[in-house]
Amino acid sequence: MVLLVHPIACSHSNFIYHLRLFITLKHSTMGNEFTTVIQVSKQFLSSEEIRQSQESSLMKDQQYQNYVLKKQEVMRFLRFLIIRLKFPIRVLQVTSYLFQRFFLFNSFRKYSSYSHEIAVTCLFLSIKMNDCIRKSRDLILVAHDIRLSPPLNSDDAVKDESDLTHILAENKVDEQRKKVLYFERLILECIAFDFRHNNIEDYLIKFSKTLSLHPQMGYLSWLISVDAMMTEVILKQSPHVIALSSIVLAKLLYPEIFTDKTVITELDSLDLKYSKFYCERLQIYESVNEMMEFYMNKNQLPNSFLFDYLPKDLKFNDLVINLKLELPNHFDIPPNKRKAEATINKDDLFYKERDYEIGKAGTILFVYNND
Amino acid sequence: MDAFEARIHFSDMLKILMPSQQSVTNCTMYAIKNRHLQEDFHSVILEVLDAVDLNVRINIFQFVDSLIASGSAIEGHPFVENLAQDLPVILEKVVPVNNSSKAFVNIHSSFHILAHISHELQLKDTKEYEKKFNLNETLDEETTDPLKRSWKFLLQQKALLHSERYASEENAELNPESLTEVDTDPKLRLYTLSEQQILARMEADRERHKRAKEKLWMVTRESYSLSLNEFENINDRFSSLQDEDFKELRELKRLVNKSFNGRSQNSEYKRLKA
Repeated sequence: MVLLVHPIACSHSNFIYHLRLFITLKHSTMGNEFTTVIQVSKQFLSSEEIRQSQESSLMKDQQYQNYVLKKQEVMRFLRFLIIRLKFPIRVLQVTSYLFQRFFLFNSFRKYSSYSHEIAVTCLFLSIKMNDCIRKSRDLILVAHDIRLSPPLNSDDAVKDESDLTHILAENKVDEQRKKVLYFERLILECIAFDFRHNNIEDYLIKFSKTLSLHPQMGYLSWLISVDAMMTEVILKQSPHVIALSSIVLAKLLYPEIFTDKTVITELDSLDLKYSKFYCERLQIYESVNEMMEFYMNKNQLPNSFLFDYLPKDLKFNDLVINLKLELPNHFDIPPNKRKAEATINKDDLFYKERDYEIGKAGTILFVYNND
Repeated sequence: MDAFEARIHFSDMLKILMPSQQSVTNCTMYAIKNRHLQEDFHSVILEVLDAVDLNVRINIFQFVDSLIASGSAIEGHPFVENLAQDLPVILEKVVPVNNSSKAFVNIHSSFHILAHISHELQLKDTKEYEKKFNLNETLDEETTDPLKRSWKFLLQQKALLHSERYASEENAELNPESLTEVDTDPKLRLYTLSEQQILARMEADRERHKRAKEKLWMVTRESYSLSLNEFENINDRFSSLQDEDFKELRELKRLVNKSFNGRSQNSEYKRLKA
């Protein structure tokens, strides 16, 4: 299905660069060269595809570690911003997806200093996709205040959004708004104008009710699913897989942390049939594995919503490491099948740093799939 | 501007108050800016409510809601205590006790506004009262709390409206002319709306509904973590998987497979001849 046609035709200076990478058809009229590109929206990517994309956007300049640190900082900033503006937490899902997707296809070295502006733009797009409309001005004003005086702890009282310690001047707000509009266009191109999305939260509640989970277990699964939104899992797995993986991880964690016998007895008799929920064993294994890696990183824990809820004296890192060691046996997955196989074309421009000149000099057809 | 001038200006603002966000915000900002005159402004609100028609009265009630929300957010909570104390009086003016069915025109909008004020002032039983309102039940308990007294009055009025409507449906068909009929009693004239006012009211209600929808998604949290209470609210929104959900899951799996299968193909980009 064709989503958008962007017909601008004129001479194109970078055309030769693309010629080397694609089977190309050159056409010129009256001295002008015309180019048409079809861009497929790939909502979900494999680990190999993510690594391949990061090769040009992050690895090239040895920026990966800086990106990881910046991402942690931005996720914390987004947490404060979402809560201060009273948004439902589900908006974090699309926000984080867009932010991570942006830095797959764009150089981190070039855009790292705009990370917070990009995060605000992702949130702005996400709230539109979730029908929680606010003006970009409101986001910019509160974001500025949070950047300059962030809350110290997650236990801090939430200030009213009008209670601003640092007020941004009107001309600066206009400047920021222009940046948001600029990045909005870049992000939309990165996702091929594909606005389809399903909420993890909706599936999680429906699954937990179908499984008649105890409310405590439901709450634990929900906190895990919110944490999962901050990981690369959302680039790889569909929302229903993440929802079920959160329940699976909660089932593993609960007896290790809490002692409520009613819940533990209920969990013992809980029979999780992945196929009933249209999920595959390997998908769940990969997701749970990656979520555990998030909890194993001590630097990530201040960002975790689950961590706030856990007993303060719990050695959570050690607990997760032990559980992770047992994970392949738990899922009964043979060693040779612990990673999904995929072959990708490394020369494909899809995995290269995005060139926004294409849209200026030719036509891009954004399509949902390549049928 | 001295106190007398501010009073006159505030009174004029209230008399022409519209239900739009801009109009209500302007009026709220003016009141907050002159919060040292809160006693004066409070009496102006009560006076103006007696002098205007029902359309403007509901707009003023909307403004009261906005003023309570803004007042609660600033130091000293100006206006909040006085307005909360006089809520039953204000509500009696907005939904007047009268035999005419026209006096009930503000009841539904008042319900939404009162529910919002109750959330703002953290009244624990709000959900229960909202349920009672929808079931046309009354509140029997005796209370001195002004917010609870307001609910008691509103629930009483709703039950009365329900019984009157039920009776009128049984006895006679509604005469459309009676809707625009002008009452001879000058007091009752304030409750009578002209055709133009009815149209304006429809537009205002649409605007109010739109604004209510804008705020429906808001989640107020005390700290920067996620509470069990928030989860329970989300939990109430969905039931277990139904046939439709299974269809959706099947479709989602197909979509995911498509994205996965696409990986084996050589190129996500294809260049065509223009």
